[in-house]
Amino acid sequence: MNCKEATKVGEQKLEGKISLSKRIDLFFHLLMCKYCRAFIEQSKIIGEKLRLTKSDYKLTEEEKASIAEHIDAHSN
Amino acid sequence: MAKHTLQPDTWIDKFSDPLFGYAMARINSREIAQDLVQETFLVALRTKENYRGEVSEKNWLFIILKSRILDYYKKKKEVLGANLVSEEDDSDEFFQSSGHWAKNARPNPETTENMVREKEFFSVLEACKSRLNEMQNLVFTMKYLDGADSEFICKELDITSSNYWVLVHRAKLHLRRCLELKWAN
Repeated sequence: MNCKEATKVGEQKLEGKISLSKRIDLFFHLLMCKYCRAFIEQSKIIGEKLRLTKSDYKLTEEEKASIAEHIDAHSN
Repeated sequence: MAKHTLQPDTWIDKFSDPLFGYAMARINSREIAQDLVQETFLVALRTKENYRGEVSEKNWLFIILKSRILDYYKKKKEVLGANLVSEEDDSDEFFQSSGHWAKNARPNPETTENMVREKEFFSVLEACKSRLNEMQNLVFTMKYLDGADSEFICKELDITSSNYWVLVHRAKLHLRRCLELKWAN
């Protein structure tokens, strides 16, 4: 298993979807390769942080007024 | 058990900002996010006879918004469809032809520390995510923000599982490197 495969299989593993033989291949690759270890560790953190993404965007009063107008126009 | 009721008069005051924030996290356009919120209210008014009061008013509006967003994703994929061809054959900036890391693309183990500690992490992450290509960004939004699994994403976007993993893999490579470079400067 090379690094390109290992990083891809590592992604699949995060979703819990790899066979035992791939799991073993990955295990031995990671034992020898600090770059792929770093990649997978960081990939996991990125995923966790992305899941927590929140946005505090708010509508302006004008935008709200425009939505209200549209609703009024359609509800009559 | 008390059932929930609908009070359309209060929707804009109470729910337009939460709905808009939810849409904005997924769609990088104020205009489209605003349209989706508006559409949500209109669909809600049109179908209010179907409301049985089993979920709260707020949750009901969110269910409608989510289905509008899913429609938007699908339309977006239709438009981007042509760009979906596997990127794996492209000259690879991350790996040598042997499949080992290209010298200048090797992950720096010290980046892990920054990811955990960095206070500005979210804004950097958002900036890096918006630099992904649109299809990668779309799959990432569904996977991480919506918590959808790969079967659902493949089905809704009509892509193969192999396509999906190429997209996820490439997106992670780009996103991770973007974060690392931001901290290197």
